[in-house]
Amino acid sequence: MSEPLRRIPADEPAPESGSGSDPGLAARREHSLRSLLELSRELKVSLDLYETADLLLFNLMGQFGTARSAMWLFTGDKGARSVMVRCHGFKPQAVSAVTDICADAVRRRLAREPSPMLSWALKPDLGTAEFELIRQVGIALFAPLSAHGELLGLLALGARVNGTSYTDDNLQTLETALGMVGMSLQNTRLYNRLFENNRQLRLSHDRLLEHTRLKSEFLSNVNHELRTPLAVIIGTLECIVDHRSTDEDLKGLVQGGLKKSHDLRGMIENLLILADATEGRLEVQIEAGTLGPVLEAFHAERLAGVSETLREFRFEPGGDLPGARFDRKRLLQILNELVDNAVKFTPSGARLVLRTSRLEENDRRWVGIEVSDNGPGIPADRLENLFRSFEQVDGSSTRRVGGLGVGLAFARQLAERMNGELRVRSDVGAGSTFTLLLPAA
Amino acid sequence: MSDFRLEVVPASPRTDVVRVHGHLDARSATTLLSQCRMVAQEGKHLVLNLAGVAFISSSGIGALLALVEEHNQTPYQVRLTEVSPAADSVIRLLNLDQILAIDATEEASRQAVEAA
Repeated sequence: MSEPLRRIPADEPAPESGSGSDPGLAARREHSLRSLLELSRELKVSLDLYETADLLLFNLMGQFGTARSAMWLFTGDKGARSVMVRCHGFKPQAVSAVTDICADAVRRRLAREPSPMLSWALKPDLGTAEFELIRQVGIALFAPLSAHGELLGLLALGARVNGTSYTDDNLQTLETALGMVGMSLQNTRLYNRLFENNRQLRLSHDRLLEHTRLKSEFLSNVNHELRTPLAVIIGTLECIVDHRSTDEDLKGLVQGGLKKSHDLRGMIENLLILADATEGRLEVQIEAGTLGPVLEAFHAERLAGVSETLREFRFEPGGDLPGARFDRKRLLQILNELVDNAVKFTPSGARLVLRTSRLEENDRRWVGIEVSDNGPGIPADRLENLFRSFEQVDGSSTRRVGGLGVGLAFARQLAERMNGELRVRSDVGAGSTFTLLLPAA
Repeated sequence: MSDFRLEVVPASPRTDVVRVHGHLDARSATTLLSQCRMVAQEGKHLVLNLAGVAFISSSGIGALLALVEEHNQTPYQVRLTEVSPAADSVIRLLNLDQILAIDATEEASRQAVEAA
């Protein structure tokens, strides 16, 4: 960074002494160095944006002795939206207000001067009310997260609990840490994007293979069940045309009929292709098995892609689970549908949780798999419609997120074919939970 | 996090003791926070026993500060007790011994949180 660090003006509290006579200075510098080494070591193995955020924030809080920290990442077109990804110590509602009211102005300033900046230095960029909000929330400094000159996000730290101000040494250490984290975040996001793209390609490939197989099977049925009678009709009409060519009127009628038969065959073929695409062939192979490793692998596979959309995705296994009876392939199809659905209908910054539970109901033992989110939720009168084909919560959502609206209907059919159930509960403003119940083995 | 371990012991109907063993660092910080948040969610005060902490990094200190701050926003108290020499030296280096509530024994901490 070529920009000089901001100096603390005379009317601000005095910084800690930086002189060589301070007996604790060497020890504190060693502590800072060890902190940077720890951060560097841990960043090498972290591939989750939220884990990286926690690593950074806890590390900085411990280095500088502050009990409050928060981190935002930018998303959307040209990073136009600020999404708060982690907050420790600050009241979450207060940080949300900062996100809504101040983040844009802070981002513009840090884009011009990409260095850590004490809050008071932002006063010229903020209105009185905005500056007062930052003061009341207790944000002592903001700092940019950037890589290759691109501003990826920003970070806020609260005041130091021992009452001293951040020193130039602290700000330089912070800048060094943020440099490492910026590169790591960029690498993480690129890796996650690549991982997700590969997953999508693999899924597309699998779907294409499945469609090809189904199409071949289906075309074979079409040939036998529908095309054979039509071939007979066409053959008969062709014979009439060939052998009664002297009766011009009859010939004209028959030629018309022949043409219509060909048209009919074409239309039926098109309809069957459409049916092939939307109906699906639901073969299931149910076996008794353990869900834990399947769900763990599923979470690991989806984590990168979900994180890439700036949604947190956590797996919370619910202790000892009995075995369950399920078709692994169909189970994964359902879970993919539920996670895709949660990503589609929640805003960036939302939290998705995959968890398991055990349940007894009507003398039956079930294993429950939940996919829950803290998104906008679904009105009660729309909940059951979700499972009808071509239904989405509203038309505008259909246009915003796209899709035929057949995914949840498909998922419920699959659940029922495995002798299970797919349920939903939702609170508007609090989020939704989809629960897949599978028979315990 | 090779030897990190938490032990939750009810000290009284109103207070739980969480005994921390091993390295409190970046890997174990979130586990500690999650476990301690559950104590507050159950409506209990928290005594954090650091006697078994062999090493504490910046991230571990950060987690302790976040934990104390989060508890300050609830009706429940948190105090540290039996801080090991390894943890004590870092806490003192950062002058946090003036800020964090530290006691010599679990019983002293329990009495302090329940009297507050």
